[in-house]
Formats: sequence, structure tokens, C-alpha cells
Amino acid sequence: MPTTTQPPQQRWIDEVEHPAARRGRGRRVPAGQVIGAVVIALLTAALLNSAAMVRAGEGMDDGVTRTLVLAVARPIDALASTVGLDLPRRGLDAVFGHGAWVAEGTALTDGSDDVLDLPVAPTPTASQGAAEPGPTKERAEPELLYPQDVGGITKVTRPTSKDPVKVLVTGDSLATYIGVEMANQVGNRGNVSVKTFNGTGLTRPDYFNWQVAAEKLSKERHPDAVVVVMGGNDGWNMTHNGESMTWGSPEWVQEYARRVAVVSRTFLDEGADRVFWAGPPTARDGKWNGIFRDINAGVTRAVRATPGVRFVDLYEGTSKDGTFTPTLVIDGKRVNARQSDGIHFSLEGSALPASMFFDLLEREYGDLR
Amino acid sequence: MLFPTIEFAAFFAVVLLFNWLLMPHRTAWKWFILAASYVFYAYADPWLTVVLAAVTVANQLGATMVTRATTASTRRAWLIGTVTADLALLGWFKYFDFFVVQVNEALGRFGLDAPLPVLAIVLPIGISFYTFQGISYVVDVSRGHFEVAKPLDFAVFQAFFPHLVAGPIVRAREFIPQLARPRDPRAVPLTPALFLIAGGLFKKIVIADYLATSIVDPVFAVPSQHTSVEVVVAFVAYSVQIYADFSAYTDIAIGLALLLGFRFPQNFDRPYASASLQDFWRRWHMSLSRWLRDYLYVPLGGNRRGPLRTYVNLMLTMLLGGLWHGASWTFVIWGGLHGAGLGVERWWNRHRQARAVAHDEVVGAPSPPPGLGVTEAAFRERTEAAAVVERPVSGGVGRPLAIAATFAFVTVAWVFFRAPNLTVVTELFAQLLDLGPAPLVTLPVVLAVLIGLSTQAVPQRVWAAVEGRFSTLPWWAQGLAFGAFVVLIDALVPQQGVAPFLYFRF
Repeated sequence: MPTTTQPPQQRWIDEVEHPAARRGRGRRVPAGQVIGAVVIALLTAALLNSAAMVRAGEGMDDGVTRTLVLAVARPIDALASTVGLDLPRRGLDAVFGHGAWVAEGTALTDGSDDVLDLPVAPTPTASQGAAEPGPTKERAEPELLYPQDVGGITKVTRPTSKDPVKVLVTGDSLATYIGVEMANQVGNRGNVSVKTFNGTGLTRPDYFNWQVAAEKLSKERHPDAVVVVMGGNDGWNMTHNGESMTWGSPEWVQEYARRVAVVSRTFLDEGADRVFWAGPPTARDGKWNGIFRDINAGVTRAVRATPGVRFVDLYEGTSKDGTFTPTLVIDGKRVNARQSDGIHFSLEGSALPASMFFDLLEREYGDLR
Repeated sequence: MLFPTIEFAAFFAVVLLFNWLLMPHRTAWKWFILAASYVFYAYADPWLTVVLAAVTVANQLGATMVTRATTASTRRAWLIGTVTADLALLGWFKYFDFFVVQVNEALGRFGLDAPLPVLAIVLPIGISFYTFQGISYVVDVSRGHFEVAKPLDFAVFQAFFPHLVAGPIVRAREFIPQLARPRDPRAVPLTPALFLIAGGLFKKIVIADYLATSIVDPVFAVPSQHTSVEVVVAFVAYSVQIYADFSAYTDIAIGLALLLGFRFPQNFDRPYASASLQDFWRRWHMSLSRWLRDYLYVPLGGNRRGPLRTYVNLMLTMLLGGLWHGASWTFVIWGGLHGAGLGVERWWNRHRQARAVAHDEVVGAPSPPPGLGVTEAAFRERTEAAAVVERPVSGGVGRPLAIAATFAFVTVAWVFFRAPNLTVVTELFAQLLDLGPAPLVTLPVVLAVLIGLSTQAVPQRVWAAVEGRFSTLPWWAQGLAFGAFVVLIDALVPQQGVAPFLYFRF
């Protein structure tokens, strides 16, 4: 026990201080060297990691911070790549597989707006090339239920107890609890798998390419139906074919629609019968609510142009007369439907969006719940 | 502002420079650090600073009026009023919606319409920490353990950005005396600080975030899709994840404070090496444990009112400790499990001590050393668990078994802490009977769990030896090495970026 004449307050901190700090008492340097060490550390990290800095800056909200970060990061990146200082980081990215979810030259990054033209007859389902090739899909008579199907779509196979429909729920974090609830609602009668990628979206394919993800997920899980809930991270500007689009502009909505159409068609081309796509619901924050309204407009536009894709309107369907409400009445009980961020559904609140998806799924596949 | 981001790196570089430039000028330094801390806090949402300022003003006013009170009843009134204001603010932001939902559900069972609106109140980040700091300040002043501070000093203490949003819960008497004189610019502990920050980044990104995305989140999201082995590994992985995540934040906070010249209390001391629950709570979130002991358990009576009241006090303390973490019955149950476990442990130790007394093996209560500045009763309250009740676990296989049993209990309790509701808890335990393949239990997951657990077994002298070797490098080489380490760590960040630290939500 301490028996020195230190003031009581000093002994309080000595008794409880972190051991690392106690060890450091014999090894100290002047403050100038500390500042120097920190500056050198930051410069080293900046030079070796300049591409990541540029990506981080481009992902920020418009504003002073973004401007400053990019003003510093881009020249550093240019210098670093010229002298080869970016090579160590590229090597690490290759080792840790960071390139697995991005690709250049994809329809998502470089494709044209043709994908949003009037519906055309769907192409024959490509061979899956996997260990379990699926059954040949029959062409159906034109469906009158959805105008986008006018060119003809794949006929769905009615599920049986031995061969239930395989539903894949995917998207960003908005999809997670909805997928959980869908799995709960179908129980042992169905096959609902959930694979979501938090923090991703369609606006940053240089960061995470959803067309690549759609191909991988399809090959991995061979879904019959795909449920997509996405958009919570898409409040950024987009660049396409060299043209920058500010979020909220008509060009931005058009480009978002194009990307939804590309990803949807990828799922369908890889063997899915149907894609059910939902944008984000209403948000408590006014700015995000506006972004989500635009995202849903883009999704609607894409769905109208893509046979076999259905729109689930979470924005209107889980709101109170089109405005945000934190509670919903589900099975006669009022529940706290949203998490504290005012965006994500709570687990209890996810029951309603899950039901909305099932209502459309059951129109095509029969009773699933 | 998250610690491992470009914005924070740039922010800290500027603050570090001006911190030492202004250090000789005390008042200017304090205003600068206060402004920097408010900028840090406002980065997430400017209105948060209003809440922080309100708590600061209220507690400083309360402490001042307590000091100026001329009668004991007036002093008590100001104390109770200030603490009530702190708890009311915390209750409003944290528990109002929870309370409303419970009331509405209860009324709904009787067929009555829900009268209270759910407001979906946004929880200001860090409010649980700085309200508790404010309460400890006012109580310490009223008890005479600390003098009322100057308003600027208290404001700096409350807002100091390294500990603002997720602790450690620093006490005024641990920090404010450090403001009394300039920190010595000739002797800054660079190496320990860099090691703490580097270790924190490693624990957060390589261990915590990896385990979360690889196994914990998928299993806890959809238990029915995972088998018993995956569920068990997810349980253990979450124990590792929450330790790695939370201790990472506080390590980084302590390291940043050291670079600025300030010392923080230790917050974790290898908690999974505990041989009992009492030991666990002396090693886990130590600043909160000490707070609960000194400002809740002891005022309730501690162990001074007989065994039954002791168990009640323990249970109440742990239930409220659980509720502090969040407005959910799962947190309350988590606290209740620990309260029950501590009660059982205490009963068992008393039982063993009674038998030991019969065999002439009395362990007496120590007295405080002279000059420490506390009363004997207060000191005994602080050390009574260790000195009187707990007897060391015997050697041989006894201690490893005790550590394993404690870890198992803590891990099971963490299931309630992590699960969003009791339905998921039930599903998780039900899946323990579902034998089958475990595709999520990969070699990297197992390695991450083992690495996380092995940190509990590494003695301090090993870290000291490694630090010692590193400290022989020149300062510029240390900076270079740290920068390269940051690049390596950043390369390990998943595509989705770094998740927020777990304790931000509390």
C-alpha cells in the first residue's frame, strides 16, 4: 500500500492508472518529438494509403471536410502512384481479397441506359455452370398482372413441401431484420436465406459492386426468388461515364434506376425467377427522407422497365400517410417499429415489411407461410 | 467522429500541436481544449453539444450550491436535486420510449388504447458516460472528497474528447488536479501511447469487427439457420468481440490522453482471467464498476446491514448496471444474472469462511494506510470484498477450473446482452440441440477467438519487454513504424468500413 506523502488525489490516479502509463515513466520524450512522430506516422500512412484516402473522401458528404480531404488526398495519390508508393497497399489488398467485390468494366460501372428501355422478351436463362444446374425454365404467357412483363417472363415452378422455393434476402443492413422475420414467418415450410452487406449500396461500385455480388450470390445459393432491400447508404453523388450527378437531381434518379435494373437483370440472368426490390422506408431525418424518396422513384423506374422484377413500396406501406412514424400496428398490436436511428426497422417492426414481401411472393408461388 | 478515421487523424494532429504550444498558457490551453472537444462532439450532430453543455452547467451549479449551503438539509437538497436532474435527463433520452412501449403493451393486454406516444428520441452519444461523471463530481463534493472546481476546469473535464463518448468514466479527482499545472513537455510517454493506440486498432479491426461480421452477427440475426457448434462458437466469439471492441476504445482513449499529457484510469485488466465474478467486476469496465460501488452499492448500505440486505444491494446494483447499458429487458436480465451470481458467490464464500473461522483461519479487514485521506469505514467498503469475504482459490486445477467456470457464466450472460430480445435468446439456446455442419466456424474465426482470449493470459511483463525494445528506436522511426502499422490495419478493414464501437450506443 502507498505510504508516501503525495496528495490524496495523486494517489487515487496512481492506484488506478493504466499499467502502460506506469511503465512509460522511465521512457519519455519531448513534446516536439511526439508531434514529429505523429506527423511522420500520418504522412507515412497518407503516402502508402493514398488511394484509400481518395475513396474515403469521395464517399463523404459534400462540404468543407470532403473538399479538404480530397484537396490533400488527390495530389498525394498522384505522387504516390507515380513513384510506386501505392504498391505495398495494392499487394495487401490482393492478399486480403479486397478486390473480390469490385470489378472494372461491368455493366454497373460502364453500361448504357439501354437497360431502361421498354421491356423486351427476357433472354433464355444462362447455364449456371455450377455443380447443381437448375431445371430449364419455361417461357410463360405474357403476364397481365405487371406491365413490365409484357414481353414474356420465366414461368415459376410452384414449390412443394420437398422442394420449397428458395428465397434469398439480400441488400444492405436494412434487409437484415426483414430477412430474419421472413425466415421466422416461413419456419420449416420454406427456405429463406439471408446474406446482407452492411454499409453498401449502388452509388459506390468502386467500393462494392452489387453486380459482382449478385453473380457471386447466385452461384453460391441458386435462389428462385431474390428479395432486395437497399438504399440506406446511397445518399451520395454518382459518377457515370465521366458525368457527375448530384443526389436528388433527375439525372441521379435515372442513373440509380439504371443500376437497379442492371443488378436485377443479373440475378435473373443467373437463374432467379423473380426479384422483389424495395427501397428504404421513410426516415425521421428530413434530408434522408428526401434521399429515400428519390431512391424509391429510381427503383420504381427500374422495375417498370425490367420483366420479372417487382416493387415493394416500403416507403408508403410502412408510413403514416406518407410520413415517418416510429410505431406500427402489427397483428393488432402497436409496436415500436424503428430503431433509434429513425431508419432501420426493429425486429418487431420488420414483421410488416416481411409480410409485404410475402404478399407478392405468394401471388407467384402460392402459399409460403 | 470515429477514432480510426481520416477526419479524426487530421483533427488530432492539429489538436496535438496546439495542445503543447499552448500548454504554458493555462487559460488559453483550457479554452482551446474545450473548444476542440466541443468540435469533436459536434461533428456527429451539433445539437449534441447543447445537451453536454446543459449537463455541465447543471452539475457545476449543483456542486457550487452544495459547497455554499449553510445547513446539511440545504446541502442535501442541492445534491438530490442535481442528481435527480442528471438521472431525469438520462431517463428521458434513454428510457422514455422503453417506458412508453411497456405501458402501452400492458394497457393493450386489457384492451385499452395506447395513450402515450412513442417519440423515437435520439440518444445523444456518450450521455450515459458524462452524466455519470457529473453525478460522481457532485457527490464527491458533497462528501468532502473533492473541492468544487473552477467552472472552466470542470467544463474541460466533462468535455475532454478522448473519454467523452465511451469512457473510461473518469472522476473529477482523477483528472482535474492534472489541470492545476502544465503537463511536462519534456517527458511525454510516446511509446506506451503508440502501443496502446496500435493495440486498440488491432483489437477493434482484426478481432472485434472480424468476429462480428464473420459469425456473431449472422448467428444472432437468424439463429434458426445455424447449428449448435456455430451457436457455441458465436457465444464465445461475442465474449471476445465485446472485450476487444470496448477495451480497444478505452486503450485508444488512454493512449491519446497520454500523448496530450494526461493520465486516465485503467478500464480493463484481463477480465477473462478472473477466477470469480467478484474478480471479474474488478477487471471489467473498472471505471463503471468503481462508480457503481461508490455511488450506488455503498450508499445503499453495501454489506453493512446483514447478509440478506447485502444480497439485495448487490442485485439492485447489478440490475441498474444492466439498465444503464440500454432500455431493454435483456440488459436487465443480464444485470440480474450477474447480481444473482455475485450473491451466490458471496453466500458460498461466507459459508467457507465460517468453516475457516472454526479452524482458526480468520482474514481480518485491513486498515487504510496513513495519509490516504479516507476514513476507515470508507476504506473497508472499498476493499471488504477482497479482504474479508473472498478467499483465494486453491492451487492445482482449482484456479483454471474457476477461471473456466467464470468465463462460461459470463459468456452465457453475454447472450442476453447481445440478443435484441428474449425470443432470439430462446431460439439461440434451442439451436444448441441442432447438430449439423458449421460452415461459419472457419480457421480464421477460431484463430481470432484464440488470439482474443490469449491476450488475457499474456503477463504485463511481456508487453513491457516488447515496448522496451520498441522504445529504443528513435522517435522518427517509431512514427514511421506506426504509420506502416496503420496502413496494414487499414488493409484489413472490410469493404463496409469500420463499425462504430459497441459502447457508443450506451
